[in-house]
Amino acid sequence: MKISKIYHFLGSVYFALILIAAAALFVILGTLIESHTRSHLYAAQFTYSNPLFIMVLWGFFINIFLSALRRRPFKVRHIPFLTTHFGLLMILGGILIKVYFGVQGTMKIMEGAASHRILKANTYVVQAEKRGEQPYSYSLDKINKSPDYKEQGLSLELVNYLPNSSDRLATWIKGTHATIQGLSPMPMLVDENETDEILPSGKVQFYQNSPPWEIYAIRTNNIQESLNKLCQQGALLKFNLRASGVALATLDLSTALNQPVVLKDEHGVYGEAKVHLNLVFSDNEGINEDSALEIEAYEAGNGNCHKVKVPLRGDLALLNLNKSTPYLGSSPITVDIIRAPLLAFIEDQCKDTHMVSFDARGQVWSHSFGNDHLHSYIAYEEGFGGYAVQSNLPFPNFLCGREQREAALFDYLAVEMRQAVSKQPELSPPLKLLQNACHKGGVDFIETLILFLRQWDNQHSWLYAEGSVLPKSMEIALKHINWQQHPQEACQQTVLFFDLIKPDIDACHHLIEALRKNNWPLMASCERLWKQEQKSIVDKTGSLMTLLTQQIFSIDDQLIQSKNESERVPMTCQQHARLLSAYLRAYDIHLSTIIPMISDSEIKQLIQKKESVNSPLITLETPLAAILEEAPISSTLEDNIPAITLRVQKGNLVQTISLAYDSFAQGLKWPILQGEYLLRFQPRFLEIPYSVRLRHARQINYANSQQAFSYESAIIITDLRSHENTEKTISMNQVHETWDGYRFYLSNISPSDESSVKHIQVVVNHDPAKYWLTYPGAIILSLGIILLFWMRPYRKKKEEDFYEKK
Amino acid sequence: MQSYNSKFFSIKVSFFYYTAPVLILMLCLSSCHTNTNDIKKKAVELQIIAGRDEGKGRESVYRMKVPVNWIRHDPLPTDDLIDTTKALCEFIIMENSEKIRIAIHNFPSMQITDRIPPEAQIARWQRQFDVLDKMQSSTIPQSFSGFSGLLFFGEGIMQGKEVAMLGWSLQLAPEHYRNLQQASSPKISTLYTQMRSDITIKAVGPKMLMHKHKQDITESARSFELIREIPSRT
Repeated sequence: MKISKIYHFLGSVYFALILIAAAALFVILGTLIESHTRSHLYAAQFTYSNPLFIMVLWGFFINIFLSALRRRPFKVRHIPFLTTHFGLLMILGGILIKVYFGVQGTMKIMEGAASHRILKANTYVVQAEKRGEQPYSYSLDKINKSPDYKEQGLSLELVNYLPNSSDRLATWIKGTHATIQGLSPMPMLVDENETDEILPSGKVQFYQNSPPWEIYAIRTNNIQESLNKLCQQGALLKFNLRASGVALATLDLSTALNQPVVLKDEHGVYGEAKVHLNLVFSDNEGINEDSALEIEAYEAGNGNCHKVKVPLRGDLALLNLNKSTPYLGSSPITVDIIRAPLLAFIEDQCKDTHMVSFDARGQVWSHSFGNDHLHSYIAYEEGFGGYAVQSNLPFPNFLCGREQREAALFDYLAVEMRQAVSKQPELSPPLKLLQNACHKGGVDFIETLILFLRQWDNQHSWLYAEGSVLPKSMEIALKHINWQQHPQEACQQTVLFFDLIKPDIDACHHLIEALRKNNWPLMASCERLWKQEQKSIVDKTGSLMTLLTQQIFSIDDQLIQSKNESERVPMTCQQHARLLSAYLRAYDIHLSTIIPMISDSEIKQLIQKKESVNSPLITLETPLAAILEEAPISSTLEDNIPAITLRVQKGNLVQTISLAYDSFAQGLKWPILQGEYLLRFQPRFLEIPYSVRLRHARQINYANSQQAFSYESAIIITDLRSHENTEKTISMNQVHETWDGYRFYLSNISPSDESSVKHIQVVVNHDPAKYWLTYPGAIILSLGIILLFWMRPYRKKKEEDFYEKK
Repeated sequence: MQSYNSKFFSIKVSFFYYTAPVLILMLCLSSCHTNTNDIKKKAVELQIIAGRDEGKGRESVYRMKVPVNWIRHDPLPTDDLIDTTKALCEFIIMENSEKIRIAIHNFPSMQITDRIPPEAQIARWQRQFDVLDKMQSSTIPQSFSGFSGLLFFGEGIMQGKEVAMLGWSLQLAPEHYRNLQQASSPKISTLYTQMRSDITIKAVGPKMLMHKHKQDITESARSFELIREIPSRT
């Protein structure tokens, strides 16, 4: 009797209502939990993956099955009802089979590679790889349940489990010390920016017969401040007059930054200089190439201001760039740094380590080592021998200051010009004029030209300055100069004109006003040039002066000769030099316009070659270590990175290791037991009967835009059972499904551009009962619903016909 | 009342007897679709390209899809292909008296540091022009089939003729290169050396003809891949 009651209850509409209410409750609960925690995983644990919810599904199955059985004995009119219920049972059966035997996981593939293994989300295994053998997975559940779990000759014991952790890679700074392979660990100091000085952690003589390098290991919350201190510590600033080499001042960089520097030459006070240090640091680039020392020097006599920029990094490092009047050549004042070389390891508040170095002339170099990603590392014996990062000592053992760099650039220019001239090209007229003069005088053309250009450049003058002592070879050449067939009058007029406007040239913005005031006849093109908004006043002035020179030369044939040929007094070499400089300006030839731009490493090679010194390459190395720290548990379960501490034993060898969960199984495997095994804590790999090979992945943008419209990947899917290949293109909204229910969704592409080889993430889903239970069940259910409607009017009509006949 | 019921009843019956099946059939038909993405637009064929050796029997290493009307030129099987200036294979696109020559080269290396950067290759190609129209030149990054590098397009004068050049200079990703250094046998090692080679695909031809076939050349070049999948280590 009781069994009969249970039987009827289980098949009743009341039980169905209870189940529907329970399912609704789960759905409501799941929605609320997910919206509150923003964690699908959390919601799934409490609802859809909960055994109670599975029981509700089983309840539906039993209820539908028994409600159908209760209709026995079956008649024709039960067909629609039974069909509907049979369809529902098939769908529920399909769902239950999927719950127990379905597959869902992710596959990460790189362009060109293939994979037939998926990572099953939220599974936990320790993967151990023995040298020369296939990796083996140890289930964390099994390790946890059995304290002396042993498999494949390896005993594993779970010592500690952290539900959430933060892991990072430690490079040069580990704990409280900086470590360089082969040197004693150096203590790390915390720079709290309260004192002006940072003490070095040690000194190392990297090169023989060279001063030792100071090594700093610092932890700081304000890396910019610490870098400024390091840059100033022990650095001297030296001011000189470029042309004569007379020393103007030598003082500490820190003093120069804090107060104006008084510049004194042999005649007394030369002027005053203000110094500004602009050390630009960013997490991505380290110390960038805009970092420079900026100097404003005012001459006491005329108040002229000379702005000099000394870049501290890059190809122009340590060269003195004239920022106020670059068109006149180099700045009349030179600025050099003299200091002890240093190497600093600085750990910032994000625990990234920045390696910074200053050489003996103040050139700076930096390289950042992120704690979660490294651009490169060394894996010894494929990781079994451990991991390390390396960096070359950035500076050689010879001086690479401004003077050495300038000399190297002139040498390079000479070589380039010699090569060019050896091909006998058509030289520009002023060069041709000088070449002929040199040839007649029996002096070397290139050497003479460069000497002349260097001397002219040092004079800080648009044209060659009067009264200068010419280089010997130049004097010989100029004695043989022949102006016939060359615009000597235009050169003369140019010299006269620029002598006239010299005061306006020195104050660059006065030049255009002076031209306007004096009704310069070719003003229109000058005005046009001056109105070019994208150019600075300094650049405009330079261009304007070139234009003025060319304008004078363009009207050469209309110029009235100042004196008849016969009345002309023979010119001195200095006068010839001035005319030649005007001629060269007309063709925009000046040291500043022809000096080659070569890379920092090329300059150093040239200096090394010139100095004939041997500078061995010194490589610094430090072992890579993983640092694990406990982190607060996040309510978004997906964000948590669990970590375990394992005690691993094999024979007499015992080692304890901590591992953070690597959810994509892409990170490093850590060596253990003297490099016999590699371990990684990761999800379980599951093999599927399909291999997916990625040909290429790409981002498709909207027309004429960089905005992504879609992402797609061309793949080859190989059925490993039949070895049949299928070429497909999958995209965000285009899923590929195999005949046996494996579905492949494209979920991510990285990087999205073409800058490097791309990886894709494919979500793989397999519903084993879909084609023989779920889909047929849905069709049968639909048929049953149609029959319910179709047979009801049919039945009613038959009944009415029957009554009418009656 | 009864007549109204009877009329309503007949409407219901006619709906379920006639209209509903037609509607269901139409619904079923409307859910069927053709995957237009997989329709091949052009007649192409898969070409197998052998690696580089001394003429002792080359192993097939690469494959690419090319239009059926391209003419293929291969070196003789007995030719020594150690000299990397010799192409692995050439395709010619002929149109009237004009032709585009597409040459495929590989550059085997033993160490990752021995590889020549794609930028150097592009610079070399640029120097092949007597006059290069810099306004019409471009170099953009490319990545496909596990290779990454640069695509150069340039127009200018070469040997007195107005030509255009489309060239890919590609290297395998460092991860792939390292995986291909782990060979299990000497035979595999030889194959892997070819597989990890740098690649160049260079098309040169008259400017107008190049513009006409640029799309086809690009599609073919981007279909270039290794026949064997690159082993990965997880």
